[in-house]
Amino acid sequence: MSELFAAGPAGAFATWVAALVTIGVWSYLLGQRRIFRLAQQLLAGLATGYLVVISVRDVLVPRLVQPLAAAPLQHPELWVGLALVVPLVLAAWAPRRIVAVPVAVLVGGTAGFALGGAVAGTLMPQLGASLVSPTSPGGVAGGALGLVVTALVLLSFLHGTRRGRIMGGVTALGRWMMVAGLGGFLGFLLVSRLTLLVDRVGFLLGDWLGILR
Amino acid sequence: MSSAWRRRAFLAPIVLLVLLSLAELAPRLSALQLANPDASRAEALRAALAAVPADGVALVDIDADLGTYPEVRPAVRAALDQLVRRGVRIAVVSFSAEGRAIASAELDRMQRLAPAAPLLDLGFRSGAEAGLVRSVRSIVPEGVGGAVAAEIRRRGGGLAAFDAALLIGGGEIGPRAWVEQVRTRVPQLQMVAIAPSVLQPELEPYRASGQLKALLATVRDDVAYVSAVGGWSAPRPGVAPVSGREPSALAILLGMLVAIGVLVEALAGHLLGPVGSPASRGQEER
Amino acid sequence: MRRSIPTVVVTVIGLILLADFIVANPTLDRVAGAVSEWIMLLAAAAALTGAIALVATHGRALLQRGTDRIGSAVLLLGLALMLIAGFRPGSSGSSDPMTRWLVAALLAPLIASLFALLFFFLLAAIRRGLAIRSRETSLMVVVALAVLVLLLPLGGALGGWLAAAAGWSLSGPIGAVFRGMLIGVAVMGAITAARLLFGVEGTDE
Repeated sequence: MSELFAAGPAGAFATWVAALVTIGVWSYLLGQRRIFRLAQQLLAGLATGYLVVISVRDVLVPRLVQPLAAAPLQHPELWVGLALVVPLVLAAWAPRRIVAVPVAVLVGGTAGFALGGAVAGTLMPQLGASLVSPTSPGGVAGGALGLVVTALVLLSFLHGTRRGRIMGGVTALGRWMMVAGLGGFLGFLLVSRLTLLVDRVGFLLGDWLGILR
Repeated sequence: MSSAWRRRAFLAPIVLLVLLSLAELAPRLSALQLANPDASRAEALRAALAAVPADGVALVDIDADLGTYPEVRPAVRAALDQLVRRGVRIAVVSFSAEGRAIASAELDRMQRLAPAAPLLDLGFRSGAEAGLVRSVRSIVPEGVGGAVAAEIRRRGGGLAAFDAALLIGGGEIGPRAWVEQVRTRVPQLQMVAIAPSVLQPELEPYRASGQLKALLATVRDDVAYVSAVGGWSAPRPGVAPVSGREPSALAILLGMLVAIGVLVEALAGHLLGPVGSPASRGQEER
Repeated sequence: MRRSIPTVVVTVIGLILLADFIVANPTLDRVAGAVSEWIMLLAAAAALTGAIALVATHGRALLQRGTDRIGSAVLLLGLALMLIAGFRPGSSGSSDPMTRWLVAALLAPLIASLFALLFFFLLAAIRRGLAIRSRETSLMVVVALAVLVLLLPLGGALGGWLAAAAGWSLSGPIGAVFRGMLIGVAVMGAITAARLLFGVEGTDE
């Protein structure tokens, strides 16, 4: 039950296949690079296939093909969509100049959403949150420390290495803090991957071999 | 590279796997506690989900990665169960392919465990940020019916129709994108998030600023939350536990001690001895 | 200044979305909605483009007796299995039992096993990083060690103290560092996006 398919014959078969796949991938630890590579290629094929299935069945058919087939004249904007989609799908054969237009729409969209979201969703609220809120003496001290750290990291992030003793020292300090923060991230990353390893071991012992509670 | 060192590098992962297996099989030790003793984050999520009215509608965005989902799976299932038990209407949506794969499995599981639960599958939306922004106005696909869909349409049909959004984050699209794209457009929507540990440092500022009402992003907080809502025990006789097995605290401790040992050894080799140290031998490791 | 059509398209699309974000106007809202819809369709179409390229590459390798024919065959087999599950007559696509079975039996365990292996790879990579003997790597490892110690799953008074210290470090120094980095990323992202939208080229240094 802890995995992704219901109990029953199909579920039991899925558990066996999943266990063998897990052992196949982990055979890398015994130096079996060949099986590991095949597992990677199987993963690439399955993942691409899944992406195609949901892209076509959940997006292109219900949002483009069906509305145009049902009422062609009621959706003029979808005809533009179709004109953009077709050259992108046929990118391998279509002239570059034509393929560049749908790609430009994607790039423009990404930039437009990123700009608004970054400024209104992160920049302004986080700048506001970094200001000290004087609720208690400890809170003021902690808030002030946080503000200093944030300011140093931001200076270092935006200005890199600066000439001059004071600014150079400030940005260097900020850079060391950033490195320390990345060390914290590394610690969380290790714990995350360890949890996944323990889960996989638990799957093999529990769901597959049935020797766990 | 000496043959002894080569053998050690070859055997170490195998030995760790064996030790983890033994730790999984060992009885629980009272000296160990995986659930975070500081239950404030777990309590924040529990309270936020408890605040959704029983006749309300909650949106569950499942965009976890298949690779890291096992880490958050118990907490996700416990959160879904907390909503289902109170009769809250739930709509599930995904903006990433892997999230959609997980959502399909979880919807199927919920329909089997609680056939009468008011669930709505909103499917997959492509385009990442574009899909999110489009959902602000309209999230129910045309042709989708049922009581939950009707209620969402009655409330406007967009993201403002929901009383809360439970965000199951991943690397492709996660709570940060929701904060940046949705919270700026629908500020009244309460957002809570469950994410893998690796996203904890990135998401912590959003929790601290209140943009995320609650955040669970370490396995210790996840376990504390599942324990708080009774997710490890079977809700009915003969029915499997909602959240599966509780991770083994001993196995986690063992793995962490091994990691600490490896890092200390490498660091000591780096700081103390330049020649023939583990650090210099590290160049030859695979 | 002469601009190419794609540059103009990038600017127009980006500005429409930005204007819709700032200004509440029904007409602008409709136009931005159509643009968002095109982007959603194009993102889905990009998956097809990628799949076609993958099939072409590995199909060619298979036919022309490339170096890794078995690998290409396995990749195409995985792709075909998923397409059959998702498109066979009567299939409901991603929620179809056969598709879900393939995800549960193959796709999810493959990815989960690879992610689990990363624990070993990470430790090996950190050892190699220290072998380079940079002070930055040493500091990173020291802080990672501190985080690992703070997250140890211990009970009792020691466990409570470690948990409190972990909570403080997360909301205090680590949170402050990442807030600085988030603001920095937001500023850099906004500048990059603005330069892209307004067609500003060259470097600013």
